[in-house]
Amino acid sequence: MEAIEIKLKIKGIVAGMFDLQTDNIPETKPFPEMAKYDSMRALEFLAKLENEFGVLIDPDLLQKMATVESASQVISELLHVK
Amino acid sequence: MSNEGLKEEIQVLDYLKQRFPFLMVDKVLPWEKGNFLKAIKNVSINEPQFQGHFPSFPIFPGVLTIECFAQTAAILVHLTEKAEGTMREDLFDVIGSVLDFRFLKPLFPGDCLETHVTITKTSGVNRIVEGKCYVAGEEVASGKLLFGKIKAP
Repeated sequence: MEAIEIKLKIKGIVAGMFDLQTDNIPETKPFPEMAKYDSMRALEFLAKLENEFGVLIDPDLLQKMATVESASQVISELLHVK
Repeated sequence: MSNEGLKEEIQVLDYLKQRFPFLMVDKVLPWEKGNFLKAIKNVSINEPQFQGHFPSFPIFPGVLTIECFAQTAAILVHLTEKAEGTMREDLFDVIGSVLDFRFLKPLFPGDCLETHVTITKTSGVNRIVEGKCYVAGEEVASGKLLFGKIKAP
């Protein structure tokens, strides 16, 4: 899967969770700065990423996945080492 | 495991704060320590939801299947926190998200609903619990719930 495709899918998940348009999601804005974000939403995000990409993600990795950019890096690594 | 076969009897009322008419677990099957739990709810025509759902065709509401799942999951979370020593009396379990729920068959009065739940993810006080519901060995629903905590009222 290409990096751009991963980012697009992540943006789709974020858009669904925060009622945003996919085009309006900044790649480097940390999720904690978004309205409606809290620790529960973080775990929900992780569950949705697992569903979308078919990988298992350790909750400890959440700290490294605070933006679309960094989340897509983590997912790329997980997909490649699978 | 060395304690295999050693199962604990769990009393529902000790682990849930819900009461009539909103207690959706009748019995917990003997629990072997771990992150898995099975519980039973018997669906009865006497329950208040059947007055309106539906007067001429009693069918157990899907949202109450989710509630039954959630209460079973809450017992497991409670047991897990007790085992881990992470239980906090000032916090209260709440549902944060209902994820990927599917209802495969309708439930009717007389059905014995058996719910199997497993904790699959933990991040701080938040947990994801996955599971399936069965009637007479046949899967009737499945899904995941995200549990979080709020300050106890």
